[in-house]
Amino acid sequence: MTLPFRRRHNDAEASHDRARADMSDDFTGVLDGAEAAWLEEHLGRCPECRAERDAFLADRALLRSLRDRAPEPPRDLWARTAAAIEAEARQGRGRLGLGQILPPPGPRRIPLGILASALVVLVVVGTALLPRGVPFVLPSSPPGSEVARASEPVATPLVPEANRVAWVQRSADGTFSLVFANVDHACPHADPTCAPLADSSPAPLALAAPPVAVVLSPHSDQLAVIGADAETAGSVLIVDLSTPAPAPSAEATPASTAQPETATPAATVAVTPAGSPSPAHGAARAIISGVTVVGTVGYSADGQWLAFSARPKGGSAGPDLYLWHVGDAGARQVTSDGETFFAGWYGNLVLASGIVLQPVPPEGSPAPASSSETSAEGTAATAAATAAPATSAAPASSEAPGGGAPATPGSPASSPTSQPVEAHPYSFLLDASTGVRTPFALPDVWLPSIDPTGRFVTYWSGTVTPTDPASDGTFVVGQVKSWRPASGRLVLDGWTAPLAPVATPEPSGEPATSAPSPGEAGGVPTNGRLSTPTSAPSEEPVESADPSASTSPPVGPIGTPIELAPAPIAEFDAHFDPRGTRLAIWILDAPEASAGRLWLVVLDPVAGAVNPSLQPMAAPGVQALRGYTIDTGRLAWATPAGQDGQQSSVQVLAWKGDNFGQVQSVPGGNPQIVR
Amino acid sequence: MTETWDHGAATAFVESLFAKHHTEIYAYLVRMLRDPDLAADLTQDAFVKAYKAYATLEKDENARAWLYQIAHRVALDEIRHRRIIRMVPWSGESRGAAPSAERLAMDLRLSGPLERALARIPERQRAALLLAEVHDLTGLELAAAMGVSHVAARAILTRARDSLRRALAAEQEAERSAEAKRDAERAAREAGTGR
Repeated sequence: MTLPFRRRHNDAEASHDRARADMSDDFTGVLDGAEAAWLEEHLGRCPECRAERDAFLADRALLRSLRDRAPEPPRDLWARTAAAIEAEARQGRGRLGLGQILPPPGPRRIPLGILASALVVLVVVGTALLPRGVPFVLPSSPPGSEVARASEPVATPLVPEANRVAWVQRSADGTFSLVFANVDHACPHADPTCAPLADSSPAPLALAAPPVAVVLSPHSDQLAVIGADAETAGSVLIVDLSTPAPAPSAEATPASTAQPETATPAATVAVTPAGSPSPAHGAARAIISGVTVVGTVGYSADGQWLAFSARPKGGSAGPDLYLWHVGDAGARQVTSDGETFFAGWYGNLVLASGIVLQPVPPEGSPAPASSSETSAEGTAATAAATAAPATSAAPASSEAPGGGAPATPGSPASSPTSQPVEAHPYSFLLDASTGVRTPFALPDVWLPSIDPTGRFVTYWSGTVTPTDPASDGTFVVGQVKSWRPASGRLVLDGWTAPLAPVATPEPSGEPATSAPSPGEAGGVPTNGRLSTPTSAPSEEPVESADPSASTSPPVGPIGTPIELAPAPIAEFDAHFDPRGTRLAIWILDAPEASAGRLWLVVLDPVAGAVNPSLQPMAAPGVQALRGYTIDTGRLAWATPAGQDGQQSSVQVLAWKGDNFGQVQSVPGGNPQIVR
Repeated sequence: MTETWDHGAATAFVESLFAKHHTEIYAYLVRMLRDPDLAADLTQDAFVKAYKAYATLEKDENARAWLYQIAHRVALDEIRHRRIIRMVPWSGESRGAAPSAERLAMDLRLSGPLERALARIPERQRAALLLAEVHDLTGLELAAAMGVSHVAARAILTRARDSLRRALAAEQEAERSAEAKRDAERAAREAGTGR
C-alpha cells in the first residue's frame, strides 16, 4: 500500500502510484485515452498492479451488489417533505434574491441581519444565576419573535424553561458586540430543520482585542471583561450596564466613547444605548492591571463580589486570590503565596485551592491519608524540586485573611533538596466579607465546585503538577504559573456543610470591609453563608482553625466520591445548574488540544446519586471550546470549527423536566470561547 | 439563474426531483447512516434544502449531482453531530418505538459483512465508495458531490478502496473467530452431554 505522503524511493513506486490513480480514474470514467494506454502498458508488465486491479474489481463487484438491495423509503416521505417545504415557505426565509445570497447547501442562513456578514467570534458569556426575565441592554428579540415562531419542524420542538444565553461576537469590521438569545425552543436529536437561536440586537462593546472571558453579574447590571494577550492584556475591566433603554441609541455617553473605530484606548468598553440613569453607564474601568488572570472568574451569588486569581504579568510569581467589591476602586489581593487558585463561589463564600508539597512516599509504603482516593503512581513532581517539602499536608494558614500555602512561597528553599516531592492540593472556603477562612477537612481536593443547593461537590481528587516546570523538572514554589491535574481522578462527592438557601440576591450597599450583622453570626443560616459554626464570622478577620483541632463538624466533601473521569486530564471545568440536578463537565484531555469535551450528568438529589437513566449528553461528550455556561434549563457551549469548513456555533442543550432538546446559533466565524 | 423567488416553480422542481431521485438519495443516506428512520428524516431535509437552494442550481442536467452534494453534506453534518452529541430518546412522538417488520428486514439488509465493513471505514471514504460504485457518480460528479477537487476525490477514493479491503479482511477474520468460538462451544456442550 502506498501512503499519501510516503517518499517515493524509485520510479517503479511512482509508477505504481500513477497506476493506482489511473485505475481510480478509470473506474469513475475520467481516464483519458493517453493515460489509459499508459495504464494498459504498465499493467502488462506489473503483476503487482494487475493483482491490485483485480482486487479493486472484485471489491467493486461486491459494492455494486448493494444496488440489488436498495432500501425502500417510507411511503409518506413526500408528504412529509412537502409539508416541511410548505413550512419553510411560510417562514419566508431566503426568498428574494436567493440565487445571489444563498451559500452552497450547508449551514442555515442567518435569520437576522446581525450576523449576516460577520466574522463571528463567539464568546459564551457566563450568565450563571441570571434571574429569568431580568432585561438586559437590548433584548429586542422577545420570546415569540419571528425566528422563534418560524420553525415548524416535523417533530414537535421542546419548549424549555431556560435562561437566556449570551455571547460576544466579532463583526467583519473587527468590532465586538454582546448578544443575548432566548432559549424558547429546542428540537429533538439535532433536527436539522430546527430554527436557530433567536438572538437579540447586539450591544456594541469597544474592545481592542478578543477578551479572554466575559462574565455577567447576577443582576445583569455589570460585565467583567478579562483582557486578552494583546493590548488589553493584564486587566480586568468592569462595565456597568443599565436596564434596557426603550430603543437602541447610536449615541453614547462621553465616558463610553462609543464609536468603535475611534475607541483608541485599548481598555475601554462602550455599551450603548446611552441614557442610563447610571452615571457610570457604558464606561469601562480596570479594577486591576499588570496581571494575567489564571483560571475562572466569577461573581458571588449576591452580585456584590468578583473573585479571580491572577499572577503578575511576566511570571515572577504564581497566582494569588483577588477580590473586588462592587463600588471599590480596585481589586484587593487576598493572598500572597503565589499559589492560590479561585475555584468558584458557594453562595457568597469563595472557594479556592492551594498547593502543598509532600515527599513522595517510599515505594511500598502506604499512601498518605490524603491520597486515599488516588494512586501514588504518576505523581506530580517526581523530579527533584527545588522547593521545600511541606511539613504538613494540612492546610495551615499562616496569613490572614486568606492565608498562604504552607510551602515556602516565592523562592527556593534555603536548603534545596533532591528528594522527590509531589504536589498535593488543598481547598478552603473564604468569607469575602470577613476574611474567615475554613479549610476542607479532606485533603487532595483541587478546584472544587459545589452545587448551589449544597448536596454535591465535584473536584479533582489527587495530585497536581506544574504546567511549566523547568526542563529538568524542577520548579519553585510560589513561582509556578499554574498547575494541572496529575495522578488522580475527577470525582463527584457529597458535600458536608449545607448552605442556607440563597435568597434572591439583593444589591447591598454594604461596604467591602463591613462585618456581618450580628444576626448572621453564630451559625445562624444566613444568606449564602455556611450554616455550620465552623465558619461563624467574627468581627476581625481570623485565621482558620485546623480542622483536626476543631470540634465543629467537618467542612468539605464527604469523602465517598464516585469517579467522573480518570487521569490524565490537562484541564477541567465542572459546574452545576442552580437546582443542583445537572452537572456539566468540560475536560481538556491534552494541554495542546484546541478543544475539550463537554458532557452532562443528570443528578438525582433525592437519592444523592447520578441518574443513569438520563444521559442527554453522555461521556465522552461533545466537542466544546473552553468556556461554557450552565444555568436554569440549559447548557450552552461553542463548538470548534470542524472539517469541511464547518463553522463554529453556539450550541444549547435545553431541558424541561427530563425532556431534552437542542438548538444552536447560526454557524459563523471562528469562535474563541472563553469564560 | 433565478433572480426572483418563485415558490411554485421551486416546489414543482423539487417535486420532480423527488420523484426521480428520492429512492437513491434515501438509499445513500441509509447506507451512510445505517439508520432507516434517520435516513428518512435526512432525505426530507435534503429536499427541503434543495428547495431553499433551488436558485443555486445553474443547470438542470447537474441536478442529480447537486442533489447528492446536498445529501452528502446533510449526512456528514449528521454524522459529525451524532458523533459528538447523544441525545436522550425523544419522549414526544416516537417513531418505531417497537421495531416494525420493515425495520427488522432493513436491519437484516444492513447487517451483511460488506455493510459492516463499510461501517468500519471513515465516513468520507465510505461516501466516496458509495457514490462512485453504488450510485454511479462519475469522477467529476463525485468531486462536486463531496465538495472537493477531482484530485482530492480520487485520493479519497483510492484510500477508501484500501480501507475497505482491510475492513473486509477484518470482518472475515471476525467471522472466522466467531465460527471457531461457536465450534468450541458446541464441542464443549457435546462433551458435557456425553458425560
